[in-house]
Amino acid sequence: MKSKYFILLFLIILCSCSKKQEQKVEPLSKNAIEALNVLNEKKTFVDDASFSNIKKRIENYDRGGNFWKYAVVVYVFLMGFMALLVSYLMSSEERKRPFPIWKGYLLLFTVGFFGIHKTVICRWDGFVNYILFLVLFIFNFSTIMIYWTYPKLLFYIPEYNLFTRIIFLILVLMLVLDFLLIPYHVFRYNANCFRKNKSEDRMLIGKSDSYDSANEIVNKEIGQVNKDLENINIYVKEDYFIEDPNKDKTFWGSLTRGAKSVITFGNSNKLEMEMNRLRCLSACCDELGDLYDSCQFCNEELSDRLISSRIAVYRNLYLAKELIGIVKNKLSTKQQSLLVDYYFKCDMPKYQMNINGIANLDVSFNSEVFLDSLGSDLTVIFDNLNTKLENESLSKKDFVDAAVLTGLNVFVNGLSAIIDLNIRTKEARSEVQAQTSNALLYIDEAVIGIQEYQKYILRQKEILEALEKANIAFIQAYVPLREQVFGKPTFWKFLTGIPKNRELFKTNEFREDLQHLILVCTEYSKINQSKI
Amino acid sequence: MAKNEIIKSTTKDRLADVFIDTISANPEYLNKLTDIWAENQRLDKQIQFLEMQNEKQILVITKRYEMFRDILTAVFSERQVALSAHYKTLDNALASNDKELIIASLKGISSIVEQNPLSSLAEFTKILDNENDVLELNF
Repeated sequence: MKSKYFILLFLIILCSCSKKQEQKVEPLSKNAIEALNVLNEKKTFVDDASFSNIKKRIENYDRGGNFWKYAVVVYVFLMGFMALLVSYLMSSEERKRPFPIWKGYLLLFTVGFFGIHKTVICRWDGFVNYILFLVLFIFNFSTIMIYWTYPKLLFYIPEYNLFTRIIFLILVLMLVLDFLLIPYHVFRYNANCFRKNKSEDRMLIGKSDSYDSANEIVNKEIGQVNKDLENINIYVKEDYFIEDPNKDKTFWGSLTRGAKSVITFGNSNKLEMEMNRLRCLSACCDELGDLYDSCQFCNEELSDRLISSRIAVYRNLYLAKELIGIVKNKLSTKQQSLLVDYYFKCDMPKYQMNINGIANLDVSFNSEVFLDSLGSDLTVIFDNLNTKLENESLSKKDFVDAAVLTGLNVFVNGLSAIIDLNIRTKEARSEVQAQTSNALLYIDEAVIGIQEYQKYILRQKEILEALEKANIAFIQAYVPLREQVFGKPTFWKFLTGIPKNRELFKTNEFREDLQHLILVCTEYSKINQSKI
Repeated sequence: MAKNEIIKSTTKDRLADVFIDTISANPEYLNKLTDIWAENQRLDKQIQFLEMQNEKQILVITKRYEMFRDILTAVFSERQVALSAHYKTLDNALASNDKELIIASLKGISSIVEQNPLSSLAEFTKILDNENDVLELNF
């Protein structure tokens, strides 16, 4: 036995030795050697202990797995790209106010290297900044890793190759140019994106994508909700029911049900009908849950669209005032505020019962208890007879007594089983009625909730539709004037500003258009004041 | 014949005797029967009460639903008809660039939309639901 342990130990030692022999010191990569060279150049600034520590860490890093080695690069690449993409997509979103210049500078100073200051204001060349930054990052990765390991070295600029220098110079030049041109970029952005509605072209021909899709959702969802709600009302109002899918429809099943109905004085039949009714109400409850979800979805969709519409109104009225302000210096206007609508939310009532649960409420004749009880009684009777037989005192009278007692026991046990069945059937009926009451309570709450939702949905749709129509009227009144007053956002216009006292402003046609715009805005604002 | 009759009457007597003996030996049978009767009565009353309550509840649910549905349909469809007419006019006016008609239809739209039907509807349903509140009629 001991020898076996020795063999096992020997094998383990052998394995560990062979493993050690297999471990070879892998040569360092070109980048790591380069990094160590850079470190060697800076050796005079680093003490010996730190130098050996950094060297060890670089070596360990270089001999690590490929994934971890370049994880930082992958991470920077993905995060930067995502940030750029999101900011570029968001740049075309409806804004409440024009983009301020200070925000452009803030972005330039904080995330300018990534180019985000450009993508936020809808300029694709932000991606060029990012690519240049990424090239610099990848080509100087080894050096950056040294700085990461020993930040003190950041103060000593290493010798960079020509390629790196050129890339760095281009990037810096671009950033300097951006620093000078940020006001112009913002000017262009506000002219091209803020003053222009996203779906302006379609609005000029009297179409509204936003309203059309909202209308489609409401008509589809609420139309179906109305139909289903009407059906549920009929099912609840009239005595509709759902039969038990597992009902025994054979002759024997019908016979059992008939017998049960007779011995329970019709209560069993009533219980079956009440369970069928409960099944129907339970199905209505499930359906109401789905209708509730549809209403909630519809309400949320419309609410989101209404928020966007309110922002669009705020921006449009701001734009109209801005334009009128160029024509006329002195204006008396109302303080603008963004209307925040009441968001209706109704929590769904809870309902526990389901169709499968109803089957548990059924009652059947408890034959086991009947037979057990009868069996124990008969045992006593036969024991008595047996005792008398053993004592040899058994007479005819005893047989008659036993027979009478047996008959009586059968009768009593049968009667008690029937009474028990009756009581349990009535208890079950009471339970089914209580469950029906719960289901009705749920239906009541759910129907009220759904109708409340319908009320708010219809009102939101009404406001949304009116706002969208007024929005189209506004765009058709504003766009021709904007073209005349602001024109194209050229660099010259940026330098000289928008001319104010122009001959154009004195023409009758222009004044008529301006007056029309003011009247449209007045009604537009009135419609916007409509609350839910 | 007479013997037979004597035996018959004796069997009947035995049956009665055994029955009386069993009942007198187990007096709880009678108590049990009275309990069962009482339980039966209680359950009957409970079922009857629940049935009536449920019927009443069904009546309330359906009446309330139908009333609210009719009010909602009446209020919003009436407004929708008027608004649709204005929208149609506005669309035509925008197509023909009829400035006067644009403003007129916008005024019509704003005058309808400004009135919130939900505030009056909420008040009306509150009066209907509260038994103590009085519903005032102007005719």
